[in-house]
Amino acid sequence: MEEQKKSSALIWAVVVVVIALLAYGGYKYTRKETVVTTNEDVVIPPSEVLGGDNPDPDELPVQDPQPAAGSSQFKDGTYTATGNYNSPGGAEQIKITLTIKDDVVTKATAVSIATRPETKNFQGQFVAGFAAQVVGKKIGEVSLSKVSGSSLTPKGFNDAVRQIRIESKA
Amino acid sequence: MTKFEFEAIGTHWVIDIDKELSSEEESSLLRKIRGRIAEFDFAYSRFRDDSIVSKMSREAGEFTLPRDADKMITLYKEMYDTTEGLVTPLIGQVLVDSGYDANYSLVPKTLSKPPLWDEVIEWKNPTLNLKIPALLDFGAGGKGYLIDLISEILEENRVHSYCVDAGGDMKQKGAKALKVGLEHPNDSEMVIGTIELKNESLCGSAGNRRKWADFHHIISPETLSSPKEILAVWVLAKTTLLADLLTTGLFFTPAEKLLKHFEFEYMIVKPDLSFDKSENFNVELFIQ
Repeated sequence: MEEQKKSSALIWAVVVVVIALLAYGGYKYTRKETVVTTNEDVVIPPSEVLGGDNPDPDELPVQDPQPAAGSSQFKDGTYTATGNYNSPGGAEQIKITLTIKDDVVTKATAVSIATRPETKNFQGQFVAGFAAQVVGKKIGEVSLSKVSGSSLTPKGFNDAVRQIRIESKA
Repeated sequence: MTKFEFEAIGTHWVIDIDKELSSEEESSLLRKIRGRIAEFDFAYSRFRDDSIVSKMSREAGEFTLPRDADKMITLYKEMYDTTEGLVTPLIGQVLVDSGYDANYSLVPKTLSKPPLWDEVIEWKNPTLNLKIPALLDFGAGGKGYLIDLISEILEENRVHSYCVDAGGDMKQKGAKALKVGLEHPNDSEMVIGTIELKNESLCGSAGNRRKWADFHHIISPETLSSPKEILAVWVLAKTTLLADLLTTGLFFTPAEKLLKHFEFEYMIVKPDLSFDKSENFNVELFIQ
């Protein structure tokens, strides 16, 4: 139960950040366009943010009865939450999905479910920027049968490169 | 369980067979495999002087290619057409002039654009009519095709659960999926994710290892430079020939366009380590 709470807390945190960014975007937008309405409620408490869209119990992963030994903070699985916030034009939503494995977020996606054109535009920009970057793990930390990549280089090629290096230092 | 491990066509081969074989069966199978590789090398290697492609670089005329050439040449032509000539066997001379030659001189000379397919090649299985001497390079798909040919040998010999791996490009068949790490394009001691390979082929291509001067192993026949917008590419497909050719294709042509002509899943890693992938490229990524 404790882990589940933590997992929920994590996704809440992400949703709050997302909403803060979007709301800020909307705020900046309204200032630029000198629209009179501004949005004071930039950050919304998590409970309100999630409103009726708390992560559905069905969307939570099947709990492993034998949690991995050690101090895993979060349960492995995929978590989805929909965040509600007020844009200058009214209420909007964005959906965030996180996949957690061994306390590492292995996948994060944002899906825009905006209704207004401006919000669609802001969320679109956000979703594009939300594309994660690969960081990698040491091969020894992952149990693997094979590795695929740049193809093992022909020996002759490696020898030639070494030779050139030696010559360039001479 | 049998494992064959050897060096051939400039790479390391590992063939895993999930079946108990007698030592006679093992040695007969290995002999067939090595024989087929030698035949392939003799036809298509531009790294040996006595190969058919080396002869083609010296004289025009009609050349009879091995009985299995048709699939490879035909798919090369389809890829050539789809990528508007950017994936081409006629890149051979460009690679040599850039320094990627039989002696690995790695010293670039002046490069010039290769001729067009129709100016040089007329293919009527099993005869290739070469209109002018040209150095053909089958590096984009050849290794993948050889993996398919070896898989065929295994299946002809009643081996139906196996993995044929040539330097990280591989075909897997059998009930148990194989967990394969995708090498980090900037650090060969790391992987960026893992994929479960089952009854499919996986090929990867990255410019990080075969790199010299301002080039890596893929050079555009149009710009005569190596593409820099892509760090690494992986492709999953039904045949290794297709997967292999597509890894080069994706360096030049948008995936959306290639997907209209070929069935495959892909992942591309860019220099800032962001990535693009098709929805069903079933990878578990280590990301932030």
